[in-house]
Amino acid sequence: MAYGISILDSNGKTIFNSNAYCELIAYKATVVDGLWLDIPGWCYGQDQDVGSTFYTHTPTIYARPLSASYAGEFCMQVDAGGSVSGDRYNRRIRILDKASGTNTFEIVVAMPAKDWGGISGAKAHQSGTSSYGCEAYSAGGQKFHAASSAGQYITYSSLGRPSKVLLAKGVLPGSNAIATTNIGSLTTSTTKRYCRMTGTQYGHVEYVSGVSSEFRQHYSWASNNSVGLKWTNIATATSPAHFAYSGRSSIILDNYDGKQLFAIADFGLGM
Amino acid sequence: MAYGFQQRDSNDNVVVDSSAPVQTISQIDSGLYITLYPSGFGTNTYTYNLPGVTSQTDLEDNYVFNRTDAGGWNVFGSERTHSVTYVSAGVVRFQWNGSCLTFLGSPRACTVFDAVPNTFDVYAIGKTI
Repeated sequence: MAYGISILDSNGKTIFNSNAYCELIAYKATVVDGLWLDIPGWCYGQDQDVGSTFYTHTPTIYARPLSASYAGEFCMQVDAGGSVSGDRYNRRIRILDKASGTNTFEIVVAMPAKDWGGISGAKAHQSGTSSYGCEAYSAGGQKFHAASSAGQYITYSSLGRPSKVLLAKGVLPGSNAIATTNIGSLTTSTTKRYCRMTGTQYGHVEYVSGVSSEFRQHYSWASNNSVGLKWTNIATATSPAHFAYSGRSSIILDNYDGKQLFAIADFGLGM
Repeated sequence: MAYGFQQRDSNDNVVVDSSAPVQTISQIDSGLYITLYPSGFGTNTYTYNLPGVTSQTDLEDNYVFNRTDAGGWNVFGSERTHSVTYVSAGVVRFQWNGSCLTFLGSPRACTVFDAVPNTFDVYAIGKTI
C-alpha cells in the first residue's frame, strides 16, 4: 500500500490496513441441530438503504458445536423463509448434524468492515461496548454500492472481532462416494475454533441405478484441535423425483459448481 | 508482547496479537461483474489482476471469489460459476465453465444464449496486501 496504516503479523502478513476491508464478526447466536435460526436483516444490509434500492451483501456464517465433548459431522442450510416482522431479507439458517440429535451449535456471522461499519448503533460491537480503541478508514471517495454517495469507510475496528484463519482449502465436489479431505492440522489450543460454513450449503446430486443421492461437504469435528472435511450423503430418493425429498433435507440442489472454500478460524479469546 | 499491535476486548481478552502469525480475511474487490460466453460465441476468458497471488495452490487456498448474485446464496437452482486459474504472479484468468444441455440433461450444441454472468466479491486470506 502507498499510504495509510498497515498492521502486519510476525511473518509480514497483513492483519489489516486502510486499503482493504478486514472481515469482522457482527452477530453471535446459538441454535439446536435442525432448528432454524433467523439471521437479522442488518447482517444483510438492512441498515444501509441506498435510495430506492437496498444494498444486499452476503455475510459469512461460521459454526462450532457448543459442547466440548461433541464429535460428529455437520453442514448448513440457508433459505429465505424467516419470519421476523419488518425484516425485508428474512434469511434463516440451520445446522444439519448427521447425528440428528439435539446438539447445540454456536453461530457467528461475519462481514467485510465496510458493511460492518454501516450497521447502525452498537449492536455489532462484539469486542465490547467501549467507544475507544483503534479504527482504520479507507481513503475518501469510496462507494459501497453504485448508488451510494462517495465517502470514507471503516476497514478495521477494535470494536469488532476479525476472523483469524487457521486452516483454509478450496475443495471441488466429490462423486457419489463418501470421502474425507484433509484441510490441515491444528495446534492444541483452548481458543474456540469455528468452521466456515458457506461451502457446506451447496450440494451435488448423483443418480445411480434409479436412486438419487445428494452429497455435501460436512465438517468432521473430532475436537477443538482436530477438524476435517467429509464428503457424505445428506439424503437419497428414488429417481427422478429428487426434488421431492422431505424432512430435514427439504432443499435438494445440484449447485456445487467449482471450488468452494472451507476454513477453520478463531476470533480471539472471550468468545 | 514485546512489540507490535494488540487488540483486547472490554474484558481484557486478547483478540489480536501481531507478535504471532495472524491470518485475517480482507476484501480486496467487490461487485466484480464478468460475463463469459461459450467458445466461438464471444469472449470466453477474462484476465484479472489479483494482488499477491503466487501459484494455483495459493489461489485455491488463500483467495475467495464469493458470488454475490444468485450463486452466492442460491436456493432455487444451479447456476454455473466461472472457473478461475493462475496465470502468473498477480494475474489469474476466469473462463466460461458452463455446460450446454437439453432440459432432460442431454448434451446439445452451445449458442450465444449460454453466456454466463457472475458477480463476485474477492477476498484474500493471510496475505501481504
